[in-house]
Amino acid sequence: MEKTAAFDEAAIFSIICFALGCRVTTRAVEIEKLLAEGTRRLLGRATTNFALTAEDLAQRVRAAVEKYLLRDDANSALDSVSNFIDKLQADDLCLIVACERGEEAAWNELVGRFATTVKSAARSASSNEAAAEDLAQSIWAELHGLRTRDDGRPAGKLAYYSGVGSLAGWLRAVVAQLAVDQHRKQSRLVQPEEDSELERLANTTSKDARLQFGASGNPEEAVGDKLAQIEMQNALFRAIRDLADEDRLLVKLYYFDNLRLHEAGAVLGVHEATASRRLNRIHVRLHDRVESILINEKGWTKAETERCFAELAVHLQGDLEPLLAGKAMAPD
Amino acid sequence: MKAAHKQAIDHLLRNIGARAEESARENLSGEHLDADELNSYAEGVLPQATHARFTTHLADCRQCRRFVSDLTASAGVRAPKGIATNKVTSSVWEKLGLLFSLPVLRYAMPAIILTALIAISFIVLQQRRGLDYVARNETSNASPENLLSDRNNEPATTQNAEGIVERNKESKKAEIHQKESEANTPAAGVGADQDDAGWRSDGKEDRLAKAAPAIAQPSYAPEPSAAAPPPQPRTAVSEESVKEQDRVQPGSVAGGNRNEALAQSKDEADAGPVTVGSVQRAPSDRRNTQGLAAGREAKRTNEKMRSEVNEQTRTVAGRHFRRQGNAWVDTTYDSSRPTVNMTRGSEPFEELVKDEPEIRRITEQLGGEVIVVWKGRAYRIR
Repeated sequence: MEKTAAFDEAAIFSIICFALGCRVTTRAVEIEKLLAEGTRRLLGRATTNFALTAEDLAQRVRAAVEKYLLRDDANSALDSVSNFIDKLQADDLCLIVACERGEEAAWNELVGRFATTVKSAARSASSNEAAAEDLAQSIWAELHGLRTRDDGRPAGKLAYYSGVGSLAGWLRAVVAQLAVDQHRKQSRLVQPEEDSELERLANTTSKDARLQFGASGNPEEAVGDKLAQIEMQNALFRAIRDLADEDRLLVKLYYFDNLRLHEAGAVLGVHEATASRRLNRIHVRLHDRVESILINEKGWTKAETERCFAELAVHLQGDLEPLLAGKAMAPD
Repeated sequence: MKAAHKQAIDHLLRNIGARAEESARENLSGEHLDADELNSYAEGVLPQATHARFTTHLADCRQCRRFVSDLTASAGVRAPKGIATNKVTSSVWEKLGLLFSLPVLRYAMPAIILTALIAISFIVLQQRRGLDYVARNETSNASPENLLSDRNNEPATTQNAEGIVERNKESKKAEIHQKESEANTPAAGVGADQDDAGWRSDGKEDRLAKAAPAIAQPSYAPEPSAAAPPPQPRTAVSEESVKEQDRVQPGSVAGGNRNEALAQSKDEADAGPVTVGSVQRAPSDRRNTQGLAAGREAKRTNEKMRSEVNEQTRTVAGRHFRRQGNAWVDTTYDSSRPTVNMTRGSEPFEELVKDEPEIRRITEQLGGEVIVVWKGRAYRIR
């Protein structure tokens, strides 16, 4: 009897696994079919396909779909896959794949079309014209790749272009990253990291010193005020961490990176007015959250939080930095 | 939230952002977005889930944030670009969905409701104007009919006068006042004294009669055939009728009333066209309706009076006779005149009709007692 029951359970489990396996297999087959059809459509959309075939593009398209679509949403609808492929930059992708395959015509077109873009990006990322010229020249070598992959093709950065964004934007990003890498290498040669760290610590010490002598003449009051401000500051950091990702990004862009409101809004893809409204809403949330933390976790009274905010508002009209330069920035 | 608290949070955030410690705390993950991911994020072309993942990373990675902000700045404003992409790829149904989406309807609905209210108000006003037009058309249609009947029938003036006499019977005070009023301007005083008589009062009719020509020729719809009769001939007829009545029955009560009525009709004729049509000049709808009813009732009264007059007057052999009691009296008969009495079939009668056969015809057609004036002599024939 027990044997029969165990057999039944195993049979049911096998059937479920089989059904699930069939379903997964069916979905995979359907996705492969969509990829093949989408690649053919993409090739058809390209103005110049450099005699590429669907097979030449298939691997690149599949990689893009898996990286940008299926990784974060494995069960995304089949329509989404088709739409995603149809939004890929067909001309740019064909050009890059052709360049990767060593097509001379493709290289000439790439340099001809995007040399200006690369130079412009290099100027923006460099401190002088000579450095910009060096950076622009090095970028082509980076694109082509000085090393060779296992399949004999050059292991350049061209392999990382997915076709999701524009080729011009991608080239600007590559130039910017290369410039940062070069700057780091040069900085490492010029000034050791330890010196920077020491400098940072010195700055922090100086800020602490300013705080000690800036806020109050009474040492006890100064210590009490500083502790209160540190608690409030830590509560504010916690409140920022509790924000939604987009709100947190907006706060960082606007307050930490010192972007203008329209620039921060552009990064988020919203209008300046929308960003402004969102910031006002964030202020309210942060205030409420800080107040909640101070009252519920630190034992503050409502009056104390109100008074601290009011004092901050008064002191912050002048030089706020000494008031906030507490060093207890570690998370609670 | 108070503005001071909001300001405090704002300043706190600014100064925290300026701190070197904060930058040191960030970017500890080590993994950064590659160039393709940074560019795709900056251009806003990523799927939603991937975009959210990258947003989480960017919120905690200053280096990638800087790349993205630089790429966004160099690529131009991204928000309009993203919107444009959505517009290009969206279908017609998606566009319709956007058109009727809540944010759009939030502003569109009050405007639609306001427009609908204005449209409804306009339609209602138009309909009211249409009712006015109908009422005026009805009145203008009725007016020429009455006027034509008055013009084609000579005793019409008398009939109108008799209709007015009927109305005058309702108020003796008005009659007295009418006698005292002047011929050209009788309406004001009479109307003032006859307020109790309502719309039937002669004064009001006279006031309305002044505007009668305007009704005969309405500005919005000209009436082609029914032109108002000229008032002057009718006035002459009225005066002739008055004289005739005065000659026939100077002392009778009915004749007195008729004379007063004729005087009234004379006044009205001097003042303007017949009152039946003029009633319709009332400015409001209610007045228009009352005017229509008044016109119809006056018309009926006129017809009734006309039939009565036809029954009590006869014309035989060129002589006009009026019924008075059981006798037919020649309208030219004067009671002060000596009268010869005779009976039908008597010898004097036979001799008279032998010489004047027309008298026989008169007596035969009228029957009963007849008073006839013949060649300057009056004969009472029983």
